[in-house]
Amino acid sequence: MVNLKKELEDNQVILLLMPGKEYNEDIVKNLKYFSSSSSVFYVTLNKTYSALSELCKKHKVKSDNVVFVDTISKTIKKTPDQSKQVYYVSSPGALTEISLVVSKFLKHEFDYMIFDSLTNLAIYTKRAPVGKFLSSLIHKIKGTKTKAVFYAISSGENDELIKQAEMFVDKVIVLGKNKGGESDD
Amino acid sequence: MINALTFDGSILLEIAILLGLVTVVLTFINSRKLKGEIFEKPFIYFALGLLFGTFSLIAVTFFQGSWGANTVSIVHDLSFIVGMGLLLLASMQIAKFLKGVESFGKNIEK
Repeated sequence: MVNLKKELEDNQVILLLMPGKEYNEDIVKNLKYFSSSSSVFYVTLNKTYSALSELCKKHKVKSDNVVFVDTISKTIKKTPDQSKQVYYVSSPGALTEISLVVSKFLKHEFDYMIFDSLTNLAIYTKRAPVGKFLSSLIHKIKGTKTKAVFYAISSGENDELIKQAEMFVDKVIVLGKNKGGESDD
Repeated sequence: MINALTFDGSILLEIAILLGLVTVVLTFINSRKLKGEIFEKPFIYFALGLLFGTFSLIAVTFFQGSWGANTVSIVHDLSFIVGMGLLLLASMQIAKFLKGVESFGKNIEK
């Protein structure tokens, strides 16, 4: 198992490439790992808050320390702007909105930020704005003490986006077939 | 020669109208770029507000002769009021969003 906390001590922003098949297991494991003793804000472009909290309950992950930014719920049903532990954004393609919300949250000095995932971002928006968005977001993160992990699926379809992202982050970790397999760039 | 009552012949006013129309079009195009985002509606309100504001100038510049002074005055004032109202609405919506995020952040800290 890659020691993400240790990696994040040396590198503020990490891109975590994970195989699609083990994606659900990986996100739960990582959330469990980070939320156990630190404050986390989790930007989800993939699952709704309710789906994630269900997943947390199922795997007995303590999510009290986690604040979610849910970009999916508003696209499928009428949802308030916010509730106790979650802030809802219009859609995964609403880059301006996501950027503003993340900027505001970064001021609250969370220990970790998880961005789930770049692959989904690519589905909803064109490549050029995504590159600019990522660059601006990562620069904002680097102006704070918050450590960030960006998820992406290593499927080969989003190679160009991943290459772009590799330029902005401090380290790329590839989760291989044999769990814990790490390939650093 | 500019007629001070009808604004006929005022090049500056015509430039203002042209600039107003260009701004309306650009603001509307920007609202399309923000489709699906929370800022889409405020940008549409900005575009409409600017359109009404520009129309109030168009009315006094081009319709004085055909509509009559009283009608033009009413159209000008109403367009201006509606335009300003829409701009106010747009800015209030943006402020509401920013305040919402801010209050959520404060709640987290509590």
